[in-house]
Amino acid sequence: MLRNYFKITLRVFLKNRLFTAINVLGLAIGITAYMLITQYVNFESNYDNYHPQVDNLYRVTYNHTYGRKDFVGVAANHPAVGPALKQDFTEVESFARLVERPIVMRRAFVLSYTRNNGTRIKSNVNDDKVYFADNAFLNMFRVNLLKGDPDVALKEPNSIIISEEVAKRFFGNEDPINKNLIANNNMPIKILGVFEKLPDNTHLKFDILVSFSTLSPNTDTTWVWPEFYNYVRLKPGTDPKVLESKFPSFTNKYLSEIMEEYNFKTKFELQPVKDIHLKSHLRNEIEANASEGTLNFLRIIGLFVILIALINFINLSTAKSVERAMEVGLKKVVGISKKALIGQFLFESVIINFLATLIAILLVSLLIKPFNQLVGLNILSMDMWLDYHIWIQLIGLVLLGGILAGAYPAFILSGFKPIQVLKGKFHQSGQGVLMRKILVVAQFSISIALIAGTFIVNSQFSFMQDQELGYDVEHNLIVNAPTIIDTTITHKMMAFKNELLRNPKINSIATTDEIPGRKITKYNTARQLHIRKGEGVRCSQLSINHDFLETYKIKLLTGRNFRLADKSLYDYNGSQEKGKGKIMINKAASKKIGFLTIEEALGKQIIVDRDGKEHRVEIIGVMDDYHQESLRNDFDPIVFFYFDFFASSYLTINLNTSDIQSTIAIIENKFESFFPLDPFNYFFLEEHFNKQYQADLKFSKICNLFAILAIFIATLGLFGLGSYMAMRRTKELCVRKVLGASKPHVLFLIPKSLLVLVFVSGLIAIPVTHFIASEWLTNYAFRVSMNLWMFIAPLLLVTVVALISVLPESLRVTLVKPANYLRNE
Amino acid sequence: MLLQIKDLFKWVNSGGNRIFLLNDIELTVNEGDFISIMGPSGSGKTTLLNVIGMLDDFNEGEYSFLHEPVHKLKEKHRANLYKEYIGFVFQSYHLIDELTVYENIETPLLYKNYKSSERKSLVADMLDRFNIVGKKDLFPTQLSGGQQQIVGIARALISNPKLILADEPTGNLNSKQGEEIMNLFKQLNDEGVTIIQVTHSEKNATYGSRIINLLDGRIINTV
Ligand SMILES: Nc1ncnc2c1ncn2[C@@H]1O[C@H](COP(=O)(O)OP(=O)(O)O)[C@@H](O)[C@H]1O
Ligand SMILES: [Mg+2]
Repeated sequence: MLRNYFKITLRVFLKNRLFTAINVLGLAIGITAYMLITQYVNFESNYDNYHPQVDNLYRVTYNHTYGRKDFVGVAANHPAVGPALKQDFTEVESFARLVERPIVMRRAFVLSYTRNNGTRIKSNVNDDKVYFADNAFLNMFRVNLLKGDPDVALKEPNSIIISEEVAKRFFGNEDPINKNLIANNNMPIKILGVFEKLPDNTHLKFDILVSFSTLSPNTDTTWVWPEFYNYVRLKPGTDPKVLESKFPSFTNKYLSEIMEEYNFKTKFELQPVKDIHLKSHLRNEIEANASEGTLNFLRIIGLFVILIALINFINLSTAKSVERAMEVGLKKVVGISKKALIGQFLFESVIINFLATLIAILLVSLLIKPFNQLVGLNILSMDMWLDYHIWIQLIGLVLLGGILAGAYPAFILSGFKPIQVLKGKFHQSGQGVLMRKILVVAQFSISIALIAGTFIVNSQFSFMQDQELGYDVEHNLIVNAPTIIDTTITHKMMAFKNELLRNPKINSIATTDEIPGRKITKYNTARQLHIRKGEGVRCSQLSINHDFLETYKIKLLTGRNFRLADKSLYDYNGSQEKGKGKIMINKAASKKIGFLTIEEALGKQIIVDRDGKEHRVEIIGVMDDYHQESLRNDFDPIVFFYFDFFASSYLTINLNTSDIQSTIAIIENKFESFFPLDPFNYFFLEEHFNKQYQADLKFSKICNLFAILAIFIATLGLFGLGSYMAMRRTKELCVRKVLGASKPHVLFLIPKSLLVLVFVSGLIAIPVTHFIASEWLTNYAFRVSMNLWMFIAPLLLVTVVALISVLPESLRVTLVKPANYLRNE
Repeated sequence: MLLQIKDLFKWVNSGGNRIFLLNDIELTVNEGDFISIMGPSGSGKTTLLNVIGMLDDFNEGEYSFLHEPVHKLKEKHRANLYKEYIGFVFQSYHLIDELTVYENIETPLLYKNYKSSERKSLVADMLDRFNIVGKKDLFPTQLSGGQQQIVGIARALISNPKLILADEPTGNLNSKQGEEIMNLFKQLNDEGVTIIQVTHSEKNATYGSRIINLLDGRIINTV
């Protein structure tokens, strides 16, 4: 039986080469797209799954009502939380804290090493991701130490572990273990470990970990510094809900005093580590997390693509059934059972699916590199074929797809009445026609939705990139500020700047402690004098100098800029009476602090918290808002301080030349002669800022890719379907010709009926897409307004593709001689 | 004289051999004729009818229709000619399944730019004439074979042709239905419509005024 099936299948394929090729190719591309999406989705949803006992691993998050009415969730918590939890609850097996370097050491510093051959390697910590971490971190999270002992590597103060890459940078081929890096030329830091490159799918990404014990011992008992990520591992079998229910009394025990003083509430929660990447959208996330919605969206696209391919297959096979009707009629007359016939068709269908899957496996293997490059992640590798899940999926797909997609044509075909078929009089049942129309409408709808969706994603993306940021992003070069400095730095800096400014290619140089392109890490509350303590509003705090406005070309709206004399007027003791300190704010801060107009804010004294103290300061100027972060986020309310140079990490150099390279060389030269111990490292502000769009870029690329694939598959199907429609209606068209229809009329009959289907699809797809896209756009504070074109264009595109794909067949039918088709049999 | 065919040949080439489908046809048809073409299967009856109806071309010879030299005309002109003067009736009716009886009959008018009101009254006349008013909203598959052929004839007549070409119009009908159709043709012929039909039935041939016998693409005698 099977051999017979096989023989016939082979003959059918050879006889219908084009049809078989379209079918196999369409399915293969569909399966390829589906596999790529599945791999991507798996990658995203398996974030942090590889840590030991990951099911018992939690992050302790901090929810509070400080300076607001309702709770806000913060990913970071106080440094004292971990130790206190371990002490108070037996369920807590171990804890580890992680804190970003700029939080605990505002000023950047330089690490250096002098190799055996005398070369001195130096690098600014600004250029690496540096965290302070408890030693337990190495036990709780999987960080593979290539060298060093995970039990002690981060125990002692001033010990660090570094990534392979950092090790290579400093040590080349030397063995880094137990060697010292020199921080700021005077403090040795011992390397006790080198870790293997971290996988891409973890929310914890770092180049250097410094032992937590390096920080002041007071840190362990600090309850007013919610900037530390606290992770705990619970004893196996612990119900996190039960432990959470004990947290209120725990927070009361340690935080009641401060909560009363500032009049706010707190709530701690346990957040499974493996949920962080997709489900956590708190303040102070360690990195921007993905959204589950986006992932679900991709899952749907994956299903759609495979659906389109299967619909193609169904449509094409049913279409082909007309031609094969003859064969069926003959077989039935000869007495082959209906069952055997269905068997034959299903067999063919499964074989086609099987061939398609083989090609898909080949395609995916070939696409490993380009796909990884496209998304900028190592998602695909040959190793994926070692995972049996993928094979189960594929086998399921072959069988299910083959049988489901084969069943419809099989039953249609085997149901033909032999006599009718032999007479060449083959009527399609009305139901069959309707069914196929529904399938085609489904396909068109999906295609239109995909194109429109992609179009909107792309528009939003280019909108964000094209939008004015409110400052000069193009001509600014960023250089790490010198870190190895002494009391002469102010003069040295002045001299350095003056020398550079003598060069006409350099406009101005600003010093700041942050640059646009990421969230300002320093923030605290600010309030007007009459507002109670604890009811201030959160504002970011940025240290700048008087060159900031000019360098960034930010507009001063009212008041005046900082001047040298304003420097160091702050009252570091926090005595509230003085109020001599001067600050500037931006428009957003003016509004948030509660001034009705910026003019009202000017000259007002406000109270700003900073470094645990209250400062009464005067607003001397209000500047225009600018985009500190990507346009995903709203304007950041910012309070600007003019501290001494010690507070700055970056130099922003405004250039007015196209001769960038030689100017950089000049700057480098000067920098090295003034600050020989600091490494010179530069980057362009624009590049740096655009890094924020990497996730968006990735998403839009993936959408583009799959929309193109979907359209391609749908086109293949349309091409086949167009042939089918033309074939099915050949007789009718010939009759019409005989009745006097002109050639153009006949030519456009089929395209016209297809157009109707396209418009029905548009009616379905456009509202749905509009709804989903509006939802998606709410993720962005600054978004494109959707316009009609975003929907009309995809509709037109699909229309054109549909027309082009049926035109050849229509043309053929138009040109046939009716005499050949209207002979009486 | 409605049409005249002189020394007409039609052939196909098959494997180096020239196979004649129509061989040296001479035929004159006058207005008001009722001609029956007879002959064994494969003798070229349908081919001849298609040539007369200008649905098919020929290789050699002359064919003039209402004094227009068909063999010299451009295709468009030829199409206009048959559109205007010829109605076709087929053995398997060739109604359009997706259209109702009414719409099927109306179709030829659509291609001749009749106004909607004109179309309405012409179709209504036709429905009346063939007694199928009650069936106007049915689809072809809902009708019996005889009824379908009546619709087919109605459709052929709607644009008031001078010539009706009918290829085995009763081939798929029982004898009673066939008789009905033949009476209809007789009546039409009496009203002045020229008819050329292909038939296998001697009885049906007697309705006509003249019989042409075909064998292997040749006319063997004219009665
Ligand atoms: N286009 C064609 N090419 C080759 N052979 C044809 C073509 N058209 C008709 N024939 C052949 O010509 C012969 C006459 O066909 P036809 O006119 O249909 O005969 P009839 O209608 O008398 O049965 C048949 O043998 C048929 O196979
Ligand atoms: Mg015939």
